Amino acid sequence: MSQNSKVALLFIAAVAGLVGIIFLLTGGVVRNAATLYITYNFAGGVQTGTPVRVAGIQVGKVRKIEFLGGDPAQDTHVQLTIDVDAKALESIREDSQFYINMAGIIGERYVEVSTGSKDKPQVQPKAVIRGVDPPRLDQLISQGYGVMGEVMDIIEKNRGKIENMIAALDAFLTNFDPSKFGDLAKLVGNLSHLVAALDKDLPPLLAKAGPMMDDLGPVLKNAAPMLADARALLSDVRGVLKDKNMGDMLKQMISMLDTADSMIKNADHLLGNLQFVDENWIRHFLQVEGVRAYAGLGSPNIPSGSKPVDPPPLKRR
Amino acid sequence: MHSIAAPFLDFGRVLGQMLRLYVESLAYLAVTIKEMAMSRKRRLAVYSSWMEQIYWIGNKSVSIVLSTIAFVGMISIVEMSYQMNRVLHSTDFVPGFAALIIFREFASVIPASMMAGKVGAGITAEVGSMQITEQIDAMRLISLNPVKYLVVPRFVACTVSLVLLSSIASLVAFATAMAVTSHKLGISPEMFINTALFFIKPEDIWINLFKAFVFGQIIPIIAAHYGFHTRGGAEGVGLACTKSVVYSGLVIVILDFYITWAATVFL
Repeated sequence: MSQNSKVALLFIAAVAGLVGIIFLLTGGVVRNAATLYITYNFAGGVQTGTPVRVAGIQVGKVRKIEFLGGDPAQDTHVQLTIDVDAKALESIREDSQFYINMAGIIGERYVEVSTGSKDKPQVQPKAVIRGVDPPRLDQLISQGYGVMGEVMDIIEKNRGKIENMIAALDAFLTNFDPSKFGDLAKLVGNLSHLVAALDKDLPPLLAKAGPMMDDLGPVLKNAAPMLADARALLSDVRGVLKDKNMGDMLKQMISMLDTADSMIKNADHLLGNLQFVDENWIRHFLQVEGVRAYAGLGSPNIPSGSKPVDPPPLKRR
Repeated sequence: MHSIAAPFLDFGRVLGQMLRLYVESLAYLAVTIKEMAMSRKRRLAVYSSWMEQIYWIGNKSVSIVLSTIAFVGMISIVEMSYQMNRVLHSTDFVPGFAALIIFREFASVIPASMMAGKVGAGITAEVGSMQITEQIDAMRLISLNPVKYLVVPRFVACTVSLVLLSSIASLVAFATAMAVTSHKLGISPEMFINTALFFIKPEDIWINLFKAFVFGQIIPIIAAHYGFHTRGGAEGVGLACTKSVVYSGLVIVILDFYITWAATVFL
């Protein structure tokens, strides 16, 4: 072999090696590949070249990742274009799920495709499929930090109480009499019996309650229109009361009632005073008043200057 | 005062001379390419000269470079698996980090260091011998530029050879690392490739080739510089070879640091 041939061989080997590496790094070309479009709302960690596995075996790669836009009305925001070996496509059915999984502790991602049911038809190439969004571990961790912070705050604020509680618990456990375990066992036994009894008695009770509940249904059903009518009535009354004329009338009526009340009181007082009046008293009164009237007017039957006679004193009965 | 400053002054002087030689080489390379374009006879002559140099520099270094890098690939796996198992109690990272260190560092630095020892020393010895036997002066007397006829072919051959060898070396190291991983850690080759490919990116390959391209230019320039400055007899040639190898190795490591740093900033 000539010198030039050997140099050419070196060139060929180097270029072949370089092409091989670049071929591997860019994900290569999956022969007889079918393209599928998988949409996600969140596809954290997936990159171009991320492997696609069916039943745990790599059958393709993620060729392209597209952002579909930030429209909140849209269900999904990310679309992965994956190339899957045509043979593996036979295992992917319409009910197959497309998960984004994590392998190993270094966290490398891969798209895991579950094999679907046999009775479902095979997924067609270029189909758009909704993937299963991976759990947001980052959010979970950050929320966990928040919760932990709040727990720490609570602990800090109630440190004294917690210490007292622990001390009390410690004292309780220290002073706990082991002979009381028997009592505890009895308590647990009784509870067990109680639960067993409830388990036995509760079903018939509930069975009896059933018809009652059935009756309650129509009652409640009738109560609804009644309540509606009552509500309407109250509403009308409220409307009438709000009327200005009605208010004035009520005020006048109240005033009249006050007046009437006062009159009744006076009449009652008067009647109280007139209770002793009888026939004799009236006759005597009229005599006396008549004498006075006569004397005052200068009646010819009564001599001038004569003094009126006082009526007898009133006797209260 | 003079004794303290002397090493720095010497360093500056030597660096200046090397830079001058580098610029001269680039200029004469441009002249040679122009001559090749203008004359078929010259093209054939230069082509023949370059192929001869590539053969002596590249092909003749294949065995030593690939043997070295093969073992470096294996060592990286053994060492990493041991350390990661000790520290992290897991060897899941091994293929990824091994691939990274192979593609970004070993595939260019190890062949360059081997070439500095083998080829650089050879160039220095060749040019140094010509220098002490006044053949360089004779070339100048007959109007042949020693840089154009001695340095440029080696400059081109070394640059091309190192890029080619580095490309093959990365694959060989990757393959041996994969074999050892499979044997030692029980990780299948498919899993090794998948995990490694998750770590390495196309830019790692370009960085490796760029480093090889730079180191390939540095080695003949340093070697030729010490060859041109050889003084005395055989002892002087030996001293020049030693300096050439030592400073080539040093410059390779320093440049590797700066290129790696720049790559982490800009890529």
